Amino acid sequence: MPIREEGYYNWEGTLSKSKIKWFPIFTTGIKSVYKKRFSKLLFATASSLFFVFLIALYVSSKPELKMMSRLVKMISSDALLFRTYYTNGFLVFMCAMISVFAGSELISNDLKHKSISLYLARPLSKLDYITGKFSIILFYLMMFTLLPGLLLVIFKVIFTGDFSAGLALLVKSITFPVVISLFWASLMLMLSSLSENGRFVKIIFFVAFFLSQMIAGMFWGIFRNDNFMYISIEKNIQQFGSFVFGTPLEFRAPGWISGAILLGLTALFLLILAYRLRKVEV
Amino acid sequence: MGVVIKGENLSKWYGNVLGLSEISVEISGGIQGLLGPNGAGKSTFLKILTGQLKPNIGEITIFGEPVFNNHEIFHRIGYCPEFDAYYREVTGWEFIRFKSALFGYNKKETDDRALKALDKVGLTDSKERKISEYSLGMRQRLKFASSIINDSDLLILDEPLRGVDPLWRIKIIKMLKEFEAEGRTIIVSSHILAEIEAMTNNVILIHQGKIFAHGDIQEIRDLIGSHPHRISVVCDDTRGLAKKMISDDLLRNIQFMDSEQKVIFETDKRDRFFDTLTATISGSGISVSEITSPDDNLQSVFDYLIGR
Repeated sequence: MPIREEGYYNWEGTLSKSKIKWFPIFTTGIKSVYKKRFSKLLFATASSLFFVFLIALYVSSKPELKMMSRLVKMISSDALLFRTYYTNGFLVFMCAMISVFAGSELISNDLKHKSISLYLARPLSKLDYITGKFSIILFYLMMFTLLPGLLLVIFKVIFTGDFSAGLALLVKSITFPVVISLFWASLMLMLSSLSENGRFVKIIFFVAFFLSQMIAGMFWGIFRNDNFMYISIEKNIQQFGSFVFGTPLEFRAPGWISGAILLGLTALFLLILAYRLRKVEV
Repeated sequence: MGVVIKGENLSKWYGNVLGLSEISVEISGGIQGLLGPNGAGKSTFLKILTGQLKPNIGEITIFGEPVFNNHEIFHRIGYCPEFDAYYREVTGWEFIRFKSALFGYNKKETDDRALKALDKVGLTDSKERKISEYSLGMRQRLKFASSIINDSDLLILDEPLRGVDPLWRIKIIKMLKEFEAEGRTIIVSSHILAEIEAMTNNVILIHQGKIFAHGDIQEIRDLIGSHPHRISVVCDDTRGLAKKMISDDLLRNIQFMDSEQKVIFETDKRDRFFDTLTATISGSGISVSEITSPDDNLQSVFDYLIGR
């Protein structure tokens, strides 16, 4: 006996699809990070370095102004300008802060609220999900690395009236912050996927950051061997920066190894992240 | 009527724990109730349906297409999960708009669909309030709204009425029946049998990872031969009625409840019993005020099947 007779119909309409499926995750994430408490304070602090360099650039174009001589000397060439800006200890620390601020809860909150199921019950793949989350951290990291770096180039042209940096250097000055941002973002997202507790994720991130420096410093102090500096995240970023921009290396060891370490770690973090999300059976 | 969902030999283990065991099922249009006690395998089945879990063995297709890793199919599926799956610090509007945007609509369509969904669940006026300020019922309605954004052909609802106030319960059930009338397929999971009974007679009973029964509840009841039907009659002469009803093989038991002027008959032959009862009453002059069949409800069938 039939229960009902309404009959099922096949829908034959055309779906309006966006090719960038992760874009809503990106835009929503950007807004929610900006709305967080202390966001303006953090962003203002992170941008302060740019303004210091901007003043130094201006001063360097006016030899009659006798101020900031040390910084002016450090940015005397375009390669030094980029290297000094991108690998500055303050900026490295601010990148770590921005990563934590923008990214520590990106996945952990979804795990906590079991909301990954809502993403994946939409026409989204796990790759779209990761890309969307990734793009949020990358946006904020690049806003305080790549964007100011490029603005410095423009202001240098404005102040000095000439642009001596070649195309290769310009490409490097774009590639380097992208690589470093990818490293921070992958580390942060990987840690965020490990726990439902955002606070725990923040702690682990800073422990990893500072512990790497402490251990590197400790071994260097004992053995006086520069190779131990490869343990430190910050030293690797600085060494890789020096290598990329062709300036004197941070410590006496091959610079490319730091690049390989950073890229290798990025790949490892992404693998762990993918594994974690594959394991998440929501 | 086409088959919307087809599962063959679906099995899922969580380590040593069995989630689903060799389930084969075909589901056509209409509302389908998914019933089972906690831990029966309902959520596992729904997660497999929504592509969030891959069965260890077996295959499942929706609209003839595989589900797992087939993200495009979710343009045609709406899913309301069991848990409160949202950030509470965002407003209802931000939440629903985001969920709408994930379908890839343009801005206008995203907004229109989100507004329409909120309107359907009566949350338009409170859309600017944070979700943390919503009651459980409002959150549940918001979750339901997020599942109907895309006007899906298949709606999968895991405990959709939990915490919803009686008025909205009725409205949502009415809405689901309208969806059914439009030819959509709706799968509703619940362990509250009255909710399912209010929506549909067509159920899937899951217990211990297996489908115990699938189909119309009356038909399932008729197939349970080992449990006699109980029919309760309230009348002014219970013993006189019982005397006239007794025949060789029709009744298994008669129970009198004199204080309520009620007699309960137990029979294996329901159809024949009702024929006899009608004939007996019409010619006897006995005044009958109520005839009920307490065993024909979902709860009884469910209890029989899982051996409570």
